[in-house]
Amino acid sequence: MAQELVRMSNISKSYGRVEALQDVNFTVNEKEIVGLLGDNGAGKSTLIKILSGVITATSGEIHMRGRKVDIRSTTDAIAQGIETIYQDSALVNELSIARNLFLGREPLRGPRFLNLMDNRKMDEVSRDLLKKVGITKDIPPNTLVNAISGGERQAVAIARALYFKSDLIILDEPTNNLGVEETRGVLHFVRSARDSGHSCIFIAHNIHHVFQVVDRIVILRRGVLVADDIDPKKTTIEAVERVITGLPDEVLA
Amino acid sequence: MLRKLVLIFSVLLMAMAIPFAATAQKKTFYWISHGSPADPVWTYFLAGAKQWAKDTGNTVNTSFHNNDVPSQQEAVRSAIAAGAAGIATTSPDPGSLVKVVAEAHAAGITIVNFNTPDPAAGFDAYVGGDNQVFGRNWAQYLVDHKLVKSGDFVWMPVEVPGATYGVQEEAGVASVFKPLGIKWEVTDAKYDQAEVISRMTDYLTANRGKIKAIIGLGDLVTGSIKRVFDRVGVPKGSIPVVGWGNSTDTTQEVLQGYVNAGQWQDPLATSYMALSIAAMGASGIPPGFNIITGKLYEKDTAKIFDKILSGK
Amino acid sequence: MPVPEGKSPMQQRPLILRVLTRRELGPFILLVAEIIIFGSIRPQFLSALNIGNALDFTVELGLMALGMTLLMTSGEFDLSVGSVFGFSAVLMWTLKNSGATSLLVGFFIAMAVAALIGMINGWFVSKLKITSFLVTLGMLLVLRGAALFLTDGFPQRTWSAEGSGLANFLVGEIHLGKLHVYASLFWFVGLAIVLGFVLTMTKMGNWIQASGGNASAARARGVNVGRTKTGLFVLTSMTSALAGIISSIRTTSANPNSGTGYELEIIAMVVIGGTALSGGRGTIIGTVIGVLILRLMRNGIVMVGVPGLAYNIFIGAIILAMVGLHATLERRRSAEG
Repeated sequence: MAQELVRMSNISKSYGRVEALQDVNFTVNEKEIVGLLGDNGAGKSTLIKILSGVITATSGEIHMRGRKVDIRSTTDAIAQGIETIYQDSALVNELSIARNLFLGREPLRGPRFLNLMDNRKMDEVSRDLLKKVGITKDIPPNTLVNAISGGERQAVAIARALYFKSDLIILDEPTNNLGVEETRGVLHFVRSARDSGHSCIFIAHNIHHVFQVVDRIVILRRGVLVADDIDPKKTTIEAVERVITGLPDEVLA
Repeated sequence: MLRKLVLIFSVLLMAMAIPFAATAQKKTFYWISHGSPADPVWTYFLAGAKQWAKDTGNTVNTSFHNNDVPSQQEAVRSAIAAGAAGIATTSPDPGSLVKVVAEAHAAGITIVNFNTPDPAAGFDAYVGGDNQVFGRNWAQYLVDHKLVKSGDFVWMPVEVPGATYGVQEEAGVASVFKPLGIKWEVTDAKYDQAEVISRMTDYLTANRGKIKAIIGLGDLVTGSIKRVFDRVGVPKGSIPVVGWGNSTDTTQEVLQGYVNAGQWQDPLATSYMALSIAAMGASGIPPGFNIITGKLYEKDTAKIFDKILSGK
Repeated sequence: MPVPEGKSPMQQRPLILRVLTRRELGPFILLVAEIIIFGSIRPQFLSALNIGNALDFTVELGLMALGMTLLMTSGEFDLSVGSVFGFSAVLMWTLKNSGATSLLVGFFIAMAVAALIGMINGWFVSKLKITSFLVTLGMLLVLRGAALFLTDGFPQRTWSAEGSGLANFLVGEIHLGKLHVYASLFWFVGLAIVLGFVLTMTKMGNWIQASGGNASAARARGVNVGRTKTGLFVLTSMTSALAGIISSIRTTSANPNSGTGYELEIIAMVVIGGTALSGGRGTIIGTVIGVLILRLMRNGIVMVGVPGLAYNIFIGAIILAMVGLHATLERRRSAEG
């Protein structure tokens, strides 16, 4: 039986009278890539925003490895080992790859009061990480992030998540603005991440991408969890689409 | 017993009524200026108005309008609407107050002009100096004291070029210098002390050789002469200076020999007399004359003005 | 994406290439050109007397521009700097002249009040999420009014500062051979070095750039954007107060009107030097160059004999030219990517 990494129990979120999420139970296991699917307004974004600390749930609890945790801010989420990769990579254009990788947790050297960044360490680690996420091209870590391609930017964001020992990497529509080649790259990174021991939540509109990489599919519909244990190897895209849009129930393996 | 009580009561009542009657005599006048409350000269004008209010027991409502013509026109109209006993106002722009003066007269309110003349508007009276006359006097002073001659160059710094005061003064200067073939240049220095010093220092450094005299067209520039001379290394008195002198900076400069003569605008007296004339008109005595103020002081009399200005 | 030419994995790019692509190069060339042109037309421009005089006021504006550089890099503006400049001096001298405190204590109180003003600005911007343009505009008016109210419009006396230890420490006259300058020059240079170091080499500098470049990304990584910006508002207010106090001692005048309109010139200096108006990128070296470009331009124009009333045409033209240059180079740089 797979080890449980994250358990979200009875999560509800309402905005005034609108119920974005109703009593959702959502689990991610160790070394697993979960695909979170659903139509627009299904509540996928809301669910992961709660997990990454951007918003708080109206009710419900979150447990990590069996222990209850309180996630009230993005800093809390990062502290719990949850990293989020956004569509726009959440990188600062005017900074270099190295500075972006270490943003918020820059290593220091020398007397503390000087607040001096350890550029050498940042440079070395960055080179390693870029190789680890499969960037074969030689891109110096002091390259500004606005000078590299979209896929490479996503790679940097993923490298950041890997380095800071996150247990769970949430990818929110990571392939949206990418071309074919780059998408393949991102999907490869995600698999490498899982193989290195990280779990991932993968959200995408493009079901084909999801099918290529996830171990398990979870489906939300209008704030309610309607399917939780779909094995992509044992079903079809059309079947999954039907569950998403809510046509008469089909039993899926 | 009852009669005594009534008597005492009536006496008390009358005793209380007298101050009431006195306050009933108290009138409200309006004092309106186009200047800026930060301009040191205007603070003296204002002080004169406050003194008058204190001395006469009348109320004086004051306002500054930072050269905003519509704002000042509105202020005069508000005063009229409030039933002012009398109004003393400056003219932000020649001719800008023609209409409101007519409105004041229609309401039977005496309206007096002070600071710079605006004859076109039909005020009941004018109290103040005449910038053109001042300019002419300064130029004449330099000529009479043989401090400049034909062919010489005179530097005329001003805070804001194009403002009425500077333009009128320059016209007065021109009337004396032009026929004599004396050349001049007006340069702007701004209203900020540090900027004034910086610009004047630059100009003096660059043109020291050709400047034969300096006419300060404003209070701030004339008051900065000592600082500028010292910074550039120009010995006091080596270049004669005449100009506005309504600040302790200038009175000190005159006393120490940096400035030959300073123009006293009589700001306190101007406000005081303008309000007095307005009060006179309010009491039914029609004003029929103007009061011209202003005195050019030298070292021997500078102490008086230094004292007045330091008193604040 | 092709790797830019000339780069090899383990080596830095050649020095000459690194210098040529720096954003401070354009302004630097302009400054050198300015000095050469003015110096040739009027050699007196380069005299010790003229340079010394020109630096007097320049370093005061420069102190304010240094603080503003870091603030603008973090993506915010402070329009109240001119008012703080005037108000701080008035506060210090009012305290001294009324006998309430000594000059030194008055100085510390004025600096502390400036820090408080910065904190208020920062609080409005980061907690109440109101744009800094509006917040500091409001503060500008409040302080200007306070200065006028405090003094009834009358400038404060400053004669009695002469000989005081504080006055000499901050802005005493220094003679380096023929060059007469004030101690404030060294404060300016010192602060430029410190802030330049902070911006380029420290963790705080990284946070400042990130806050201006992509505040939400920075927050997501745990950067305290609100605290960073508030700290910079405090820095900007304190450098303005220091500049105002130094100026009041040097010009022997504490006028409530002083500092009016400085904010625009200072922002222009910062932008001309290469700091992006939109935030995320800042350069202290650039600001120093920008400060010198504008002030030496004012001085040079007078020395060379341009008609006094045409000054502003030249200053405006320079500002437009430099900003245009930066924008073009920026576009070129991102196209080459």
